[in-house]
Amino acid sequence: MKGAAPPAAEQIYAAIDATWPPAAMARLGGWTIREGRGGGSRVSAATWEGPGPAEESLAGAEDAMRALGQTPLVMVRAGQEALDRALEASGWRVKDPVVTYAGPASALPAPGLEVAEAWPPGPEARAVWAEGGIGPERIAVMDRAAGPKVALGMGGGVAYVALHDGLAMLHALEVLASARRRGLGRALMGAAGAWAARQGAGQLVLLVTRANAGANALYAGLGMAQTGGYHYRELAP
Amino acid sequence: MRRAARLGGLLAVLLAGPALAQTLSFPEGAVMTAERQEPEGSYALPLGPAEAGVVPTRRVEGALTMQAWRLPETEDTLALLAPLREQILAAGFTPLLDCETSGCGGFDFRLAVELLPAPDFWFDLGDFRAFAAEKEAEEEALVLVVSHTAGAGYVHLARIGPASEEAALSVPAEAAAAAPPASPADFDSELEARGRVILADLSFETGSAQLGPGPYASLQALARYLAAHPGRQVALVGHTDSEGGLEPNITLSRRRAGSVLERLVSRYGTPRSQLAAEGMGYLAPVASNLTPGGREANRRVEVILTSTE
Repeated sequence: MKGAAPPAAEQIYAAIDATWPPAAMARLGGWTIREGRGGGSRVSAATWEGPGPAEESLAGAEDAMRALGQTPLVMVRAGQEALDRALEASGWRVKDPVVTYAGPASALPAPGLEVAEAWPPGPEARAVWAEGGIGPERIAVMDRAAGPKVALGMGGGVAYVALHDGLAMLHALEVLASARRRGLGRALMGAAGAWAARQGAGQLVLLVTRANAGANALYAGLGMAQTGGYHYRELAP
Repeated sequence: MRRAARLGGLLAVLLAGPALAQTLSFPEGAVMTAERQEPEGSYALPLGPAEAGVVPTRRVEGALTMQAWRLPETEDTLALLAPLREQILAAGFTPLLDCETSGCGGFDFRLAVELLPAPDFWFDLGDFRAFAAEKEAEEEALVLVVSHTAGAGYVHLARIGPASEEAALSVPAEAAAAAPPASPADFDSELEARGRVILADLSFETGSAQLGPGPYASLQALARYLAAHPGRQVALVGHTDSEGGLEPNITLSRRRAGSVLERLVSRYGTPRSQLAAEGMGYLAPVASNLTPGGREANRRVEVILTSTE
């Protein structure tokens, strides 16, 4: 069993690709290129795995993303300051700084409300997601995850949790505007923790944009710790 | 559980047995990272490099096997491809395509060819080779894609054609699994005499219920036993060490047994009616939980014979 130690950044990056998988990944020298098929930044951004300076092969990565019909987008991870400066100098602009949170799955409070667990997600869950902008392309992302996974749902709220290598990762937590301020987010987090613990996962991990004040307050209020973060840089057309 | 390494090379040839004409032999140190088999599959066979962004393909049908292999410290895709290509040509195959990176069509080629995903097979858009060949008389075709990245070489093999037993050139199969726990005869007699066998060669990710890609000699032996005795039933029973709570451990052990059940159904066509999956958590140790070695031994999946006649 995995212990309660917070996961290392590399574990989190591996869990992102496994629980929220791009349609395809390929390398281009030190770059990992992701084919997102409309599934959003997380599945479309390239990452620099090194070694050496990224600048020399940046144009190739750009071409590869354009060949896929994608706007060139790079995920800059913690510690990649040199890459960040190189992108800045080449006119790539910052997009969506993201914070990662982690906490022991079993430490989250019991939901208190009845939360349905299902895979594949039912029509109600899909409708809530669709309302929040999580359409078929992102459902296809969830479909691709090979490990154990679940859609958690309760009147107007829904979330997706999947397992990779002892980590449970939560994505796509969505509560309808009309159902907010009733503790649904908190209940879904509790249900996610309970599901994760039953699967034998030690830690529950999630990603949230720094700008989403409500979500950041929810996760911090549940005792989850910020473990790091990343941001994107985009080459505007 | 310990991750069992699967070695290609000589072992595959030696264990192929007299029934097979030839088995494709991988260099020493090659490790299979993933395999997918479809008894009735189809594959878009690449016939040439991309022209105006489109790779010409022909759809072929038959038993499909896709395998991904990783080789250590390889910098040269030709060194990866050449020995495999040589064996395929020696087996009487006719080449359809033999190209390199931009000569294949670069990105357009990657998008046209079905490959097992990363991280089992890493494809470098800037450095790869592809080779396709067929043996028309047998309606048998092979597609090799080789690449290298971050100091490791990767070989992707797709084979489509008649079932493996009738193939002119078969791919390394279950027999390539390293250190099979026992011969099939030993497996059968142990299961019947003692009522249980520990499936010692299985490997799971730490804390995960996902079974490694295999192949596993123990599952092959079990599938063969159940096919030979269609009236018999077994239970797969998962066990853990005593770290963590009882309930999550029981859940994890049951899920691991369930993964083994699914693999038997999907890979070997074993009827579900012959199988059950249960989990004991840490309640039935075979060794002390006080030592790492003991805990390792306690993390296991066993098969028990539940039939009474």
